[in-house]
Amino acid sequence: MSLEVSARSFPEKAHEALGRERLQKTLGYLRFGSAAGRRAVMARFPEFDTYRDLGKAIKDHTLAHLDTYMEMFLEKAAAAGAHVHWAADGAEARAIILDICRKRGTRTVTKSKSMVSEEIELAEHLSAHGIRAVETDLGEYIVQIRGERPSHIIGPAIHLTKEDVEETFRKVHDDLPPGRPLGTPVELISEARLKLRDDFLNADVGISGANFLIAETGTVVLVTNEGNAELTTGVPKTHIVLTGIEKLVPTLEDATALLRLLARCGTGQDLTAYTSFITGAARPGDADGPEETHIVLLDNGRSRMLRTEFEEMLRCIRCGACLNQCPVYTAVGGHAYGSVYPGPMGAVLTPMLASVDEAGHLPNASSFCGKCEEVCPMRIPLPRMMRHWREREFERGLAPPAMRSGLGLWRTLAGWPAAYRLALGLAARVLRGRGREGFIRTLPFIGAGWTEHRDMRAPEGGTFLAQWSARAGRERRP
Amino acid sequence: MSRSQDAALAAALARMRQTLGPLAGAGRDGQSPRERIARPPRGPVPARITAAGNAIERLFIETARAAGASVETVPGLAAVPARIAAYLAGQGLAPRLHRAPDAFTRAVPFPDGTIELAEGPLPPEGGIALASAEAGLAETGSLVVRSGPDRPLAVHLVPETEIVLLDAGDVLPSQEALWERLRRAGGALPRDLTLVTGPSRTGDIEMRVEMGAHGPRRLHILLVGGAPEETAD
Repeated sequence: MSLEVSARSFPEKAHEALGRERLQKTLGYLRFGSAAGRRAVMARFPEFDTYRDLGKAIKDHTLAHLDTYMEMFLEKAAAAGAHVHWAADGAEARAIILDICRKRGTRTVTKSKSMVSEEIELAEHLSAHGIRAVETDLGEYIVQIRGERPSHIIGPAIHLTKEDVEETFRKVHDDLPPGRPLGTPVELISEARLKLRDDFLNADVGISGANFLIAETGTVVLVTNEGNAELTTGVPKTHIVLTGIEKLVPTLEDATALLRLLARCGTGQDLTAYTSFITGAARPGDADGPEETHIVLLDNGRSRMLRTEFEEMLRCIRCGACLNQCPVYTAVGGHAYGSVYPGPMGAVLTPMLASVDEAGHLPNASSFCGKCEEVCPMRIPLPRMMRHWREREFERGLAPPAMRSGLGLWRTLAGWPAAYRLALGLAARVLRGRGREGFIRTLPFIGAGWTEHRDMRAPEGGTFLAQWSARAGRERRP
Repeated sequence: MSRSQDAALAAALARMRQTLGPLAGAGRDGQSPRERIARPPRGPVPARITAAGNAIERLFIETARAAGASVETVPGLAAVPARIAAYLAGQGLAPRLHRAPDAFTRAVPFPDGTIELAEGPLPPEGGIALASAEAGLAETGSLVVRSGPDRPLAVHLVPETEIVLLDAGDVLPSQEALWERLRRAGGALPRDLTLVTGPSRTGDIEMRVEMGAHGPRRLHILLVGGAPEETAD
């Protein structure tokens, strides 16, 4: 998969992203918009922390009994008329879905946004076999017609300005009058609505993901704000659900508890505009709905995370809060990561889905500030898990040479306390000399890259060790 | 599932069981899965519901408006046609409705000639639909709609404007009350049960939320039999 190769070059891509003016403008909307939205919605939900504990407990219990709940789900979904398929990896899932589409003589598929389908590159696979796969979430549609990948798990086109979208629509929708007004988001949205209507009403198969799977009833829960999931799953004759096994929850009440967290953390809403509970295929006599419903359960590395230091990652409900609040993500955007899942959650999950030497840079794309864990509704210790990956990477000798030699130099110095103190004192004095109004604007040599996009605080006093001994000396005097 | 898929699934489940350890009657963490399914535990009731007390209807009106819907109370079905005519005129919309085939919606007594009525599939460009909801949820201002023999789901998704009738007696506090009601009725879920919370929207362009992405741009709720807002207390 292309994801493996591109994840190698995070440093180069991040560097390039910092210099792109339009991208920086849109990341600014995210930096300020998402934090404000979150504050407003949380003020109206004082139970947030209680529900975080509850959400964590629900998922931990489910993961401890994943085999049992999977069996219950399989039984109930089948009883409601769904065909359930098991896929050990992406290749198997792609083959199963292509086979269903071929049997139904499929020409056009509508797709509702699904990160798992991005993970296995489903749309590309279907296209390569002559089946048109149309993304229907507005953001996904925009990145698809631009030939790009989503840059955010909730807002796929978050890296684009409205001018970018206008340019793309004028180029791709070349059957429409060239002089039409297209300068506002409303005009752009109306055009996409018009363009996608035919596909919604005439597609042979609709493919969706799942936000939760309910073992009690065999139900698939889907949330959207646009209504595209309902049009995708309800209109065509066949509905295919593609989802990871970690989406399981025991009961309807458990799904409700997690829904109280998902939209609040994802988009700053109490609940998304559409929350659908889909159970099986159309019943005899139903006015509409698919004749056939298939559910493809994908493992792709998930079950091997059970009972490891990465198990807690399986609690993730894909709300995107850790991306929105991450200083690295909001500085460089999602494409720099080169992986389907960007940001802190992607840094932990991607190496598990690919392998650590192929996505080895991702856990380093963090300042370890801890904000991701602080905002995570499922209390996933993301920084700790990124550290596990860094340890593995270092043990396997995969860390870059500059980092290895830097750490080696530090180790040597740390073994000679007098030399360490001398070197540190010297460095602090030099840096203090470079500072203007408490900040250093540029550093030479390897520090130049660091100060290119940010300022460094200049040291104000002596070294920590010098200050500590001075303080200890003062305290000893009565 | 094919035979090879069946075998692969059985093997995967066996591997999981080996990793997770033996399953005692009380569950691996002291909670039995069977027990959880038989008696599903509930999360704490959100303060906004307890604070509303008996005024669940008013909480619904407030939360539905916060979600971008417009809401008005009507004393009974007889008053609905005039309210609809007034709403459409206020929005500058032509008096032409696509009526959903369910019994509640069909019971609205439209006088001849005031509003043009159509049934059957909606035009692809949208139009205006009149439909009804099974229930309302006060916590979030959601309408509960479902698939069924006289309940096409498309009626809630295809129109540009949707007018929804909701019996005030069907306003429930939260999803938990809905699950309880479903279980009392035998527990079988329809193919689709959707909670509609305000009009369709998207924030995909520069994070600015705009209504009317793929579903209705306007959602107007008529709370039938609801207490008039001025005097409700």
